[in-house]
Amino acid sequence: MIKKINFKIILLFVLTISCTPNTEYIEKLENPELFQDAMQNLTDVIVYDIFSPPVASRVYAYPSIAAYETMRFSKPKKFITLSGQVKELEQVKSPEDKNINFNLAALYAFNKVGRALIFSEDKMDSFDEIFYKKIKSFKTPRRVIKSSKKYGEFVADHVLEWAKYDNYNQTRTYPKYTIREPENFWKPTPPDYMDGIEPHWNKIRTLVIKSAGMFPSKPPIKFDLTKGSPFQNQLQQVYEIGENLSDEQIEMAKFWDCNPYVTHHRGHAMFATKKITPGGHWIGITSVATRKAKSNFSETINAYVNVSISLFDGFISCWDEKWKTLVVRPETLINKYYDEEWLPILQTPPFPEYTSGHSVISRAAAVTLTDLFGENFNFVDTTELKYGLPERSFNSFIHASEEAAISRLYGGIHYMMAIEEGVTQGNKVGVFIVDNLQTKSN
Amino acid sequence: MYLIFITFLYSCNNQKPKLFELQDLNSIGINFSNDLGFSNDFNVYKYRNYYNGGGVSLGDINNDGLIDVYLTANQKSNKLFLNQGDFTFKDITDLAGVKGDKAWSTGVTMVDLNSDGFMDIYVCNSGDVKGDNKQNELFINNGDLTFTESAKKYGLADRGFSTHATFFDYDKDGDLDAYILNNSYQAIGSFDLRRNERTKRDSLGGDKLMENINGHFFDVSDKAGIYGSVIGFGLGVSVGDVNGDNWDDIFVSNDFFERDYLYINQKNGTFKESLTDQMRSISGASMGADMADLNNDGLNDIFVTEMLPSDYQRLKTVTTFEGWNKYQYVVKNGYHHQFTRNMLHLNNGNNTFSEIGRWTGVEASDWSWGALFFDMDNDGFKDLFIANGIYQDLTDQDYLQYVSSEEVIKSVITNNQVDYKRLVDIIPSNKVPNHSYKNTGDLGFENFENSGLNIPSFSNGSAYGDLDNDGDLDLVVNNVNMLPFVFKNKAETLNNNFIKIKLIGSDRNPNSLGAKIKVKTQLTNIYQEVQPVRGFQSSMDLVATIGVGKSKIVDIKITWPSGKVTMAKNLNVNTLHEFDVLNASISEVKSPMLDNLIFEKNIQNYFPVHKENLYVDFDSERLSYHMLSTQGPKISIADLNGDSKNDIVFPGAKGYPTQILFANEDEWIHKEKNKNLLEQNKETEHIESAVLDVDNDGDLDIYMTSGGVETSIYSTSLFDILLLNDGSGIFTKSIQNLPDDESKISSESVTYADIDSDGDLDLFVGERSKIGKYGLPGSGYILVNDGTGNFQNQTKNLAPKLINIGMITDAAFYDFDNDGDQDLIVVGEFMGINFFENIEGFFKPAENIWKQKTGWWNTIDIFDIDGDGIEDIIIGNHGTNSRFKASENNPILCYYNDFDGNGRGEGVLAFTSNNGKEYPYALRHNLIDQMKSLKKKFPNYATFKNADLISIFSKQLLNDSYVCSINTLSTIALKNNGNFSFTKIPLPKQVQFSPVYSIAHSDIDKDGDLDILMGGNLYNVKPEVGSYDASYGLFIENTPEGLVFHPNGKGFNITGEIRSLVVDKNQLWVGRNRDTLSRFIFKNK
Repeated sequence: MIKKINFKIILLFVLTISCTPNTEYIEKLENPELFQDAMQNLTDVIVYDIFSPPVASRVYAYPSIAAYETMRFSKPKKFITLSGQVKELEQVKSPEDKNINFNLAALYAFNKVGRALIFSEDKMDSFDEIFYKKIKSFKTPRRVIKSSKKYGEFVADHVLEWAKYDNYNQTRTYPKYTIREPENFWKPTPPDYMDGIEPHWNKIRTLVIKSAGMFPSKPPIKFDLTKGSPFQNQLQQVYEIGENLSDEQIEMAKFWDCNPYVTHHRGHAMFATKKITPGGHWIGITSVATRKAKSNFSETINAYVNVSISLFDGFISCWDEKWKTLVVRPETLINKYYDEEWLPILQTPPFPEYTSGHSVISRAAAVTLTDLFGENFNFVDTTELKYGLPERSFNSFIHASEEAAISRLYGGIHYMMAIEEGVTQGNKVGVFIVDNLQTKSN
Repeated sequence: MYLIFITFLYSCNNQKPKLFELQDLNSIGINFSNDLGFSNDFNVYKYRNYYNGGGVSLGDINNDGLIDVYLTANQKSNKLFLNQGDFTFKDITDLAGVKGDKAWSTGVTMVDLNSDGFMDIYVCNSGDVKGDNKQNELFINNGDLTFTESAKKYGLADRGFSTHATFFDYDKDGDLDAYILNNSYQAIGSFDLRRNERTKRDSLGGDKLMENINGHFFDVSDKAGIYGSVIGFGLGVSVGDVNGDNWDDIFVSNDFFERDYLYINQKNGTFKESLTDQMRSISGASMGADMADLNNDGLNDIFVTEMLPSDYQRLKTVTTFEGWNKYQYVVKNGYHHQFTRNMLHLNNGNNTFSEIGRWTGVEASDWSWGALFFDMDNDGFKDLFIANGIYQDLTDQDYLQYVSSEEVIKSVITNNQVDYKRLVDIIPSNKVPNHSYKNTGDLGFENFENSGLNIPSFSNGSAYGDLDNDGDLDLVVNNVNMLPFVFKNKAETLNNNFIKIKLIGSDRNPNSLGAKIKVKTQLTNIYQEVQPVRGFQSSMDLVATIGVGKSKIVDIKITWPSGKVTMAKNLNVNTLHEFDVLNASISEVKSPMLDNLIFEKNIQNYFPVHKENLYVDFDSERLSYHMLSTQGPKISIADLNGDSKNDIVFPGAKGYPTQILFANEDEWIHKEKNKNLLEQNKETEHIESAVLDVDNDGDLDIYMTSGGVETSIYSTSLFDILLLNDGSGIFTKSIQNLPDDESKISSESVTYADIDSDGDLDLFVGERSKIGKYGLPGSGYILVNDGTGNFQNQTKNLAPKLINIGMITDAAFYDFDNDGDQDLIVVGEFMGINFFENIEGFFKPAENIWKQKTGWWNTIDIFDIDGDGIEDIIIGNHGTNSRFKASENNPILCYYNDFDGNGRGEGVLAFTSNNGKEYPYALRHNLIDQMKSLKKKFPNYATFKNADLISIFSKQLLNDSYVCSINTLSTIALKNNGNFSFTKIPLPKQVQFSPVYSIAHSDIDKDGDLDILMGGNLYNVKPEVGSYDASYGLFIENTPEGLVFHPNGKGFNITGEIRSLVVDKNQLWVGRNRDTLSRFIFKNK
């Protein structure tokens, strides 16, 4: 008897809801924090799964593109499709279902593409669970959820099908780099002497720039260890600067370390610290900027898609240079010729030196963010708090990118030439993308 | 590799009584436990050797004939237990005053240091958290069950991070000197490997040799040539005579990246560190070691423990192997060839060792500390006990890659401060059973499942001695965070006999350390040396308890440290015999082990040197274990210019031209025209050549195979080349594309015969592999000669079964069925022994059981072994000194497919477990490196450890794969019974110690039968499985009693990767990869 009554009450309740149209959820789904959370979750999984910097940039780009291509249907006049602007992306079929909420669909699209690219799906599962509860708590109608999910995942599949042909899978089994004897060539570095990562990243399909080699750097300074030679000066600078660093400079080096996997050896015992990648750091800055600018849901996605595209192309551009020039790391030479005990402040990452990856991608991202938020956009960068590092304040994105670049010299892992040329290269990539990628109609 | 799931083993062997019976410590009176606590300042992250544990020392401190027990503890006090008979003990630590005041005790040694007739105790200490308070302690026995600490007085209060110390008379001045083994202070990870600091003496620590001068010890390390640097991470020191000169040599096993040391006593107060001259492969992170004669040949062998798991699941979760590049870097910087596994260095008696740990099956025993060779069951052969286990699995890969870093992020590192407690608490802790192996004689070891010793534990030091004087060796094992084990040996139930020998030495060496005991029984000759320090941080009782099997009487010979000798014949067994040096007689020292040599090495400086291009197969074939790019040179010897002198064809690897060398008095000359021609072809990897007259013009032409894996499959340099001789030794290249226009193949083998009886020579060419597609089969090619040297590929017509037959390494024509035409035998990697019968020029498979003997065959030699006038066959295989094991029931498989659908196929190697399932050899991260998508399926190591091939891929994918498998890894000899029927001829076991790549035969000793020469080795192998280097070339004498192996090869003794052996009159030519061509001249008797 009691059961029956309950049933009736529930029935009544449901009926009441459907009678008065509920629009509250729509407003709640306008909250950009929903997307910020999804992005933060993606970052967490990237850190957990230990993606190398270039591969991480790919894991950021495709979900962002899927989110953007979905979201833009909420304001089709305002946001222009990426199809025709990024290589080989075909236009996604327009939605017909009137029940779709495009913000919600964008979140579904983002999570599905993200899930396909990361490894630890259980981490995604727990996020999805919380996400679903939240959507339910907004009292989002079931048909809206269903239709949005369906469309979001449709776009996700579209993007994944396109991503399949970016040469990522093929390059997984391209030959590893065979170490070359002459000492001007890059060698694996202490303490783990890891093999060089992603020697074929320049074969990945670019998004906006025409080709991996579109913005070549000047050739690196000719290898010459004669005292006072231009190359030796560069080397000497790295060697000497470590001695005289100010606390501020050391802090800078550590702040911008962004090495996803640093090992610490204690005899047979070992542990590792994980951090975000350089690209992940700029994704973090994007979240700081969008929050500070109070960007709405669509603007937030718009910012991420622009930044992640410039990071993606920036890495390809830089990696093309690295594995063509194969410049040896300063640590290798300093240990051999000047000081056996010398250790850089940062662990030398496992790939060739020239150009500096952080310099390239930071500049490219900064140029993009400047285009979106303006030149004198000051902000407090809290991205690294989570990883035990302090916050830092910057007057502008360019200011931050310049600090990121020079920090590699302080860190003892790059010559000045790789930083200067890296910044130049990154600037070219960033400007080209700003000039050639238009997401918002004027 | 080990296929057994150990956990499974345990549950089902409780029936038979165990040889060793674990004692209840309460009832025997031993109250001790090496318990470790945790503090944020002092833990496994702060102190490298935190879980290294304590040691055990056995000796009779009160001369009551009962062995007493001393146990060291790291954080608690050490203890001394007085043996009261009947397996009961009394804790007299406090009374005796030997608990030790210093921090973190490690190794312990009992020896009568002051020659007063009472055993003293020397305890090594590693210090407290500040690294202080670590002077070693010397407890001098007062003779009344009390001791006085006197280390300083003797000059032995060493302040290093001591692991252990051993005492011996290195300079034969009659007194005991000391070797103190010190571990390094410096943190691992702060070392740049390029900076090899071996020769720099560490002012604080460092190993030390201490000379005893009138009862005081002085550091003579520098003068004596002993290393004592910050990279010496010594965990084991073993003293003994390894070269039979009656002077004590030293072996030191070093942890981490530093290599081990082998010091040969120069008999003048100095040592020469000679490890790299004498040993090829050594343990990586070496732990303890033992030196003993385990095959009863009178020579000390050396066993070193490491950390390789024997259990499959642990292998897949706690192990990583060095990559190729790192390995090369380490070798280049002087750390030698180190691999992750236990090493059994078999003493060859000629200043070389052959590492046969994989052959004996003792290479994997998890995180191992003390290894002891002792005869557990008194059958006359020393068995092996390994104490292993680590309290926390520091190398658990999930912990390292995921768990610890999560925890670090949570605990937030600020100023590099980590909350170590949280980090340490979550490290998995798993007990691992100790390992014991029974010596079955003749170098055989098998798991001693019934020993009763294989108890899951965290064991470190251990020592043996006859605690209850019943004639067998009991065992004490010190454990971390567990009670120690005291095992009572019940060997008396086996009815084997024993003999106990106590030596009464000279005044200043009353224990006769360094004396040698030889016992001759009915069955065997047992050899051991009086050296108490063995295994890990432990010392044994000095009374020798020696099992003699069923022998009722034995002869013994004692060689005293002074060189004097005591002989005794027909001694009664099952009793104690005492011998006093006073009754010894002077004996001349025999020069050791030089048997009459037949071969004399003769290498001239004008001999060509083989060089390889820099190519790393593993950069492309990431899942393969053995490089295919180092197969040459297979040389040919023949008279090419008709001057009756034999000339040489020396194939060149890619980048290095092949050389055609003409003999001319005391040199070899190139011909300029040939040189130009060969230079033009130098981008081809040439491996093998055949020298034959293809055009019937009376001179010898050359067919060269073009192969390797370092050439693009589209390159025309893959065509084989045919060089036509103008009669004077000037060659021109034939314009033919060989084997045919369509076949740019990687070929290795070539052989010839007149297959169609038309008076010209036809060819067989074997394809070695499909470049970039390891696992897919190649084809054999029958090339028919038109009589003018033009060849036509007639395989499809004449021998269709040769198409896609396998990865061919060798083939030979021979009339096996004696019907007057040339039949064919073809072998290869992942292939059976394939015979083809020639039926009027058509080759039809001749079915016999040998086709099912699939192996990694390398080479064929056909000759009459048994002297019956019919030629037999020897086929060289991979050998069984390998991590790879194969049998009918446990075949090795290779599945080839594009498993991840990325357009590039991969060959996945798998083994068949006893449970019938197939598991990949590759570790999780190596498999993922080739197939990224698997990381999604197996997000961590725990999910991967039980995954068989079906669950990793799918039944469907496996069914769609190209599969090949093998069941035989032994090199075999086949007696020809005619008509394609063969039976096996036994070969000496040493043949199996390394892969055989070349076989030659000749009546070397001119006794009318054909003797055998073999060579092999393969160095370019992934560190995970380890270099194959145990062969120094084999000389096998054909005798009426069978094939006899000669340890020293009667002078045929050479390092390197032998790829060809060619006998030319009284010369043996040896072609080696990346090494100079060598020659041995053998004297005709």
